[in-house]
Amino acid sequence: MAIEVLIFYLLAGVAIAAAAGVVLARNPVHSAVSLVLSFINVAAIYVVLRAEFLAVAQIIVYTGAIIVLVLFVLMLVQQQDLPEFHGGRPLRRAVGFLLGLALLAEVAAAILTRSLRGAPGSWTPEAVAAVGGNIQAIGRELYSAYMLPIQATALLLLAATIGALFLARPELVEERLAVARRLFTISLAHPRGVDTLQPVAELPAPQDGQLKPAGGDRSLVMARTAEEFTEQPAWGESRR
Amino acid sequence: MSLASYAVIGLLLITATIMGTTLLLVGRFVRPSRPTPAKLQPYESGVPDVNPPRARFTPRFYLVALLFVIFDVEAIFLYPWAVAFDALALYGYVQAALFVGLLLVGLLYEWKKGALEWV
Repeated sequence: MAIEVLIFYLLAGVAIAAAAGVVLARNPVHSAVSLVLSFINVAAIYVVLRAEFLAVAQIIVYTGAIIVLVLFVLMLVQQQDLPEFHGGRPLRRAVGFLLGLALLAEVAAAILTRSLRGAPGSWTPEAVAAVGGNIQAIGRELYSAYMLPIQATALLLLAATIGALFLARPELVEERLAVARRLFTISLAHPRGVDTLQPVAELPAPQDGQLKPAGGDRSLVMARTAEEFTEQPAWGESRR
Repeated sequence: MSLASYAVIGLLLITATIMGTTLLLVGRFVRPSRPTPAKLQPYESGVPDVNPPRARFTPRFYLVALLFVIFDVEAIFLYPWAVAFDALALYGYVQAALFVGLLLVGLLYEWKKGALEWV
């Protein structure tokens, strides 16, 4: 028993430290890595609590899928487009503090109800062992007594599917892509129609996403051979 | 069946941590470190990069990732049903069919909308 408590404190400590790292790290990628560490520690706590299925689900869904989403957002959004993390707008800070407080109150209320009124439901460790383990018990309970929540979850996921489609509407994506192509067509050698080769060192230093075309307002093309240079459409358009 | 059965995993984690940090620390103190500007470049013998290092990606990737999360959660919900299939009988089958059916509607919708096409 004592060793379990010790392991729990170790895992919980690392989880909290990693969670603090998520908030305190200045680099968003470091935040994401901290979040992975926190999720894995929470999964280990589930294992200590004998909730193996929950632990595996935590790993697959949170450390697997949610982190992918977080990192995708970081990839899709330019660094300078990200909101200032530690800017300290007073209103934003107050709202964040209140939301955190509300979450803390909810968790505290849940723990208090649980400890005052005892374990809800009829599943004791012995009953779980009798039906053949964790997943058996979850399956039996989920698909009989929790019929409505299951279907509500399906509806929620359906709404998420449609929402995802709405946010990344293909038509809009095409428009944005066209703009991005115009912005990000870059020449390694020299602009179209200019015959004097410009040494690479003299090209203007890229200002992370704000490249100025070296040849006035003409668009520049990436070319590897001389043939490519003459009638090549801007990057990406040739593939369609 | 207790926590002791996870001792092997714990041992593995501890061993991996100790070995990893030891190797990195040994390398840190043993290797010579004489940096020159040329050595510190990403490509020591290549053309300097004029592209911004963080290129933009199509939001399409994000859509695929989002759909992956949704169907990942669906799969997680189907595991317990599959394990308890015998005990749940017809009622559970109908439940799961309804669950999958609702998400199938979403899949058909995005298929129809062309979200699964990669231009």
